[in-house]
Amino acid sequence: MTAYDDPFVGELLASDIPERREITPDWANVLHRAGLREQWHLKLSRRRLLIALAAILVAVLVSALAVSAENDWWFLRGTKATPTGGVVVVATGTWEGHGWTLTAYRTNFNPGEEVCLALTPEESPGPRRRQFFCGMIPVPSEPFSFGGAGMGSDFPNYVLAPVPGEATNARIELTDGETIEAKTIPAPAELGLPIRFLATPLPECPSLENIAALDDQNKVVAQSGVLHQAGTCPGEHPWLPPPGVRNR
Amino acid sequence: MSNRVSAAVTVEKLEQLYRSDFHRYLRVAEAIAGNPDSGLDAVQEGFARALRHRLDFRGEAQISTWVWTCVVNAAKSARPRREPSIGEEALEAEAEEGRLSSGLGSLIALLPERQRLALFLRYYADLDYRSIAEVLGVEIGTVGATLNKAHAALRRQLEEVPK
Repeated sequence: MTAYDDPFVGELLASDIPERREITPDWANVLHRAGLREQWHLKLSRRRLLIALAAILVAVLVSALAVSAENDWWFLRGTKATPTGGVVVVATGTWEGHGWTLTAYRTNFNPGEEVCLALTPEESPGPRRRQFFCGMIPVPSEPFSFGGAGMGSDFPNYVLAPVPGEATNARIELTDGETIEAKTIPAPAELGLPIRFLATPLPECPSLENIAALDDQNKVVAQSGVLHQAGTCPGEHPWLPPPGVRNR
Repeated sequence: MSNRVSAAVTVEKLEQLYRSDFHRYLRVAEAIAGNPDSGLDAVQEGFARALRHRLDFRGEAQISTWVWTCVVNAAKSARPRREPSIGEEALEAEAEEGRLSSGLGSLIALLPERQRLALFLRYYADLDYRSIAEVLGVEIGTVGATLNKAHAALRRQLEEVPK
């Protein structure tokens, strides 16, 4: 109170103050009235636009890196069997918790067209886990190439082979009499080859007797021609291709 | 000059003031405008004017005082215009319009505008005399004199009210 205040009037007015209404302040309405809401939104939009542009840039960079990585497959480094088309991802899968990717491409490095296969484990692929080889395009009644790896690592032993397109199944015969049945994988259309692929895990220290490619009726379409192939236990050499099949 | 703010008025500062003192502004605006809806509209419009003209602020007053000016002007604009009138007819007309909340309000409504505004700013907004002077655009001494007249008028009118 100052010298000019009147306590009586002050108390009177204080008692006359209307009850405080439950009104929530609406700042957005103030902005709207001031014509700033749109500007604020524009600022937000600009910010969002910048974020979107940054996201797009990152996406482009990631895509570029992905494309770069795709064109930089480990198996293309140093090989003379260069692709005549693109590298095609045939399948991805998991064996005993370990992911893998099967890729293939066509090449004509040697006289006559060939197909190259590669199986790449997901986690830190090392030379003992991954496998890459090229071979003649499989046809019925002719021996087909195969490969395998897994020695000395957690990644399972496996067998990998291109088989004729009629071969929907495969039977892997081991020297101890055990047989392993497996479905084959059709080649993606972009590969442009009427073939299928065998990629299946094997038990520890397998000793291969034969690999048979079978049709729907379980009739043998082609065979690998393996006879008493050495196993892939620690300390042993990985499989070697049978005669007539070139590994690179 | 310690109570003077030379800093620029920013949207953030105005928003902070709006949120912290909203109900004080609303109380005064309702009293000036004469009804709650107009009062609320005046607060919103007053702050909107402050926002629109924030770049014109020269720092010659406190930001809050400057905003008070905006809100008071908006509330005065929101109040329906009528010719100055004194008497029962005018009071009855205002009562019918629901713009008077009480008998005291009726008496205050009979005061000249400057006295009404000075009373509201002093007792509802709790502004000091300097701030009231800046809001009303008068000298600080005029605020004292105006309040004195308002007090006297109210006392006189209260004495005349039939018991």
